[in-house]
Amino acid sequence: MDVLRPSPSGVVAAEITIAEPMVRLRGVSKVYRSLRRNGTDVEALRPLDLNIARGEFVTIVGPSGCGKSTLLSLIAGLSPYTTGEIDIGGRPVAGPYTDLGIVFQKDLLLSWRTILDNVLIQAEVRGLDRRKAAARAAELLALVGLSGFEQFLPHELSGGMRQRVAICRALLHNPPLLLMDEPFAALDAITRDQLTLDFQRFWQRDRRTVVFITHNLVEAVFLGDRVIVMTPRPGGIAEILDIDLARPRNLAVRDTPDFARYTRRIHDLFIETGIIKAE
Amino acid sequence: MSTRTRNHADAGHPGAIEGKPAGGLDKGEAPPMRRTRRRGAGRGFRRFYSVIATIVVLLIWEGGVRLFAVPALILPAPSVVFATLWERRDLYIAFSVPTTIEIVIGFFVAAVAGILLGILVSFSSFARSTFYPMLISSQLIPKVAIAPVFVIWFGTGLESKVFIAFLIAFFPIMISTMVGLQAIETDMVKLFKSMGASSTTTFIKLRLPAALPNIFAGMKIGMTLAVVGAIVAEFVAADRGLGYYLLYANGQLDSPGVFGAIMLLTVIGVILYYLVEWSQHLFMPSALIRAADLTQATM
Ligand SMILES: Nc1ncnc2c1ncn2[C@@H]1O[C@H](COP(=O)(O)OP(=O)(O)O)[C@@H](O)[C@H]1O
Ligand SMILES: [Mg+2]
Repeated sequence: MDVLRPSPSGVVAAEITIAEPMVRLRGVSKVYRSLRRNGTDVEALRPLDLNIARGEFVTIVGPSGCGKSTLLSLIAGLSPYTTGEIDIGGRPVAGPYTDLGIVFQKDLLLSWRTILDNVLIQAEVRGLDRRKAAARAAELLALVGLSGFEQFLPHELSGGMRQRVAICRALLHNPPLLLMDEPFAALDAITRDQLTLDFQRFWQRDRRTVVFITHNLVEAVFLGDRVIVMTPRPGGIAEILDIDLARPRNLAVRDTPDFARYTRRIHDLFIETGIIKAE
Repeated sequence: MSTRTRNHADAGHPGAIEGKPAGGLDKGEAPPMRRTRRRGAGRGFRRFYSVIATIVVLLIWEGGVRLFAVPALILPAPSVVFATLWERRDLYIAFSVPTTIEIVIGFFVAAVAGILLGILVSFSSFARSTFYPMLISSQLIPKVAIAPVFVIWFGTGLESKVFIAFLIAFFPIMISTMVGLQAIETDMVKLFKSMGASSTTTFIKLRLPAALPNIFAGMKIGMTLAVVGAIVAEFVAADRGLGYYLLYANGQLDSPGVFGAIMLLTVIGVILYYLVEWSQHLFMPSALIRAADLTQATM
């Protein structure tokens, strides 16, 4: 297993970006069939097309219930799609796709395992070599500022620290694709800002493909190379914004006119699609 | 998935939290605010409180009996009960042994069967639709009332007592196992699936360890019920045991003898209960049990 190796420059990654789409969705939709006899089916996603380039940081923003988590489940192969096709790296997704890492809103740490063993669960389940995995886990934990906490239990850590551990677990096997479902939504505003900054820096080391879901449009613009704005349920793509802001972005960028233009645009889209009722 | 490395906290056995993992960890960085194990004086002291409380209750009992001159037939003073226990120690010891054996075997069978059936019913929809309703309805039959039937089936020996103890102790263990196995978040299962976990791996590394606190809660209830089961069984038909002696002494209007048996049964029950509680530490990190104790206040 390779140790985390940051790419030497972002320029190379940008070239690969255009050449190789990493995730490709064609006419993908999802209807949840009702389990009750006379219940109505829920159309969660209407047919949508989406390409996600290798090395790209894509954020998906939309109100709760618009099908963001559903979309992520479909990409990860954790839930069957009703129509269309999805492939990752040229391979069609049928059943759980394992060559990725996932971070959920809840940290989902195992309360009975130490921090180190929580990260290593990834290696245990996958049958990776424990010695190498333990070395990499320690390295990842150090990167997120948690060295020394290896032998602590999850309940001894704060929410922000626990979510950092969840990110380390998702990256232990060095997956080319990282899916994140509102990973910072449960944190307080200050911790969220810190994790957002840290995560950007972390991501810039190796620029792996990230699909990042959020209902926070500031977070979406701040982190994304592209922001996919969703419509209300049944979820579709209202618009895709290319975010042309230099990296690394610092928190002050949120107060610039450029940044405000993007958030204004998303806000307008929310009004157009009826997510927000106009004043 | 074939060459799986085993580690010190493997197979849903999250014991050794103190074990250092292999690999170049902890290379010189000072661990943040490393606390030593919080066993400390605080907890030892609280243990001590329960002993003091017991002594206080015994003293009030003793004082009350003397103050109001309560006849020994109605309520013997603890001093009288202890004296009786001491005088008849050979008999009490001889009768404690079969009762303890009945409780322990009955509980053990109940724990094994309860956990296994709980797992089976959780994972097999066939078992859930066939055999689970039967198990539920069997619990509605008053077991105490049909205890004599078991005596007819299994005789007056050890088997009928073990069977009744088992029958009473089994149900809460099975139910708590099922509850524990089902109380897992769907995202957690998704996470394991995305790691490529088979259902066996998910069971061993996620479901079973997550269910352990519930399983142990069920086993603690089961242990107290196994004591009840063994005594009831001895009431029905026995020629030895503390339950038998309790009934016999009662017939003789020998209250100190009755209370001696009750006191001994209580002590046996408490010891067995704490053995179950203590055995948790073999399966779960002690720090986690202690953290749960602080919020739930198990005694
Ligand atoms: N397992 C499910 N069964 C039925 N309906 C579901 C299920 N999961 C989600 N839904 C429905 O699909 C819609 C989209 O849900 P979700 O993808 O969780 O939205 P979001 O993550 O954007 O909040 C909601 O209306 C929700 O009720
Ligand atoms: Mg969601």
